[in-house]
Amino acid sequence: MYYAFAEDIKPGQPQRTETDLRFIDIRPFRRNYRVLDLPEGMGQVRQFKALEEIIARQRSALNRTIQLNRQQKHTGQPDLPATDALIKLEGELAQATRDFAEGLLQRGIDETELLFQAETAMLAAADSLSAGNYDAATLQMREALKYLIEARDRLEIAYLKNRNRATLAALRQFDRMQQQKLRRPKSD
Amino acid sequence: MRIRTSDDFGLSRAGIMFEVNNEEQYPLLSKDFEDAAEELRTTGQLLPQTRATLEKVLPLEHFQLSQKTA
Repeated sequence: MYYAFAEDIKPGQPQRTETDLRFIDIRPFRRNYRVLDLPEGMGQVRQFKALEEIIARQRSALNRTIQLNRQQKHTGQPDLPATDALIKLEGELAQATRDFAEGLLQRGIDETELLFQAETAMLAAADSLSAGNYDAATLQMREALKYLIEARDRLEIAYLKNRNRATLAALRQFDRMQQQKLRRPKSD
Repeated sequence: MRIRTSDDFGLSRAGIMFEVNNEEQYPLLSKDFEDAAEELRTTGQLLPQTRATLEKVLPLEHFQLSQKTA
């Protein structure tokens, strides 16, 4: 994670500005050598697109929280409508994470503990936002992100090791379904 | 990584911070323009630097990163 900052030369109290947080994903570098043509989905790394979307939205929510915190410290007033929207978003993310984890469990994937931990951190972040505690919410969202990223990598390995064609097909279909649920209507 | 920054009156500091795994933040790059700003204040003769482009490579291989790193 990184960000840039700059300060001006205002005498006495330089004004500081910071960019949003930017994230670097560490992904494995793979070379797959195959002689046989395996059926689609087998022996390939599968990215769960629904989970990628949850991670992207959690990162966005984290940046928004940091902005609101900064704004509140600067003006002394919380931005209540924006905070309410963020609480709603964080609650929806927690629900989406739980749905995703439960869907995986139903399809025979039990590497879901980290997803439930992420959900817990998200709900705690929503509570902290409700109490106007942006600092705590920031830390909890960071924790949620950490769990989500670790879960993503474990799930990819679990998928890679799975040789059951029916399970893999069910997982792909489930992922597409969750992605559709996360997709917002164009009117948003 | 490269940043471009500007300020109407002048810059005193700019840089890039990074952190690994929710741990301590480190400056990858921190440029201090304060000397120039101080000279401006005392002599009134130097034009403050209002724009800067800073660049540095973040050597990720120096950190024990894994796929689980957040």
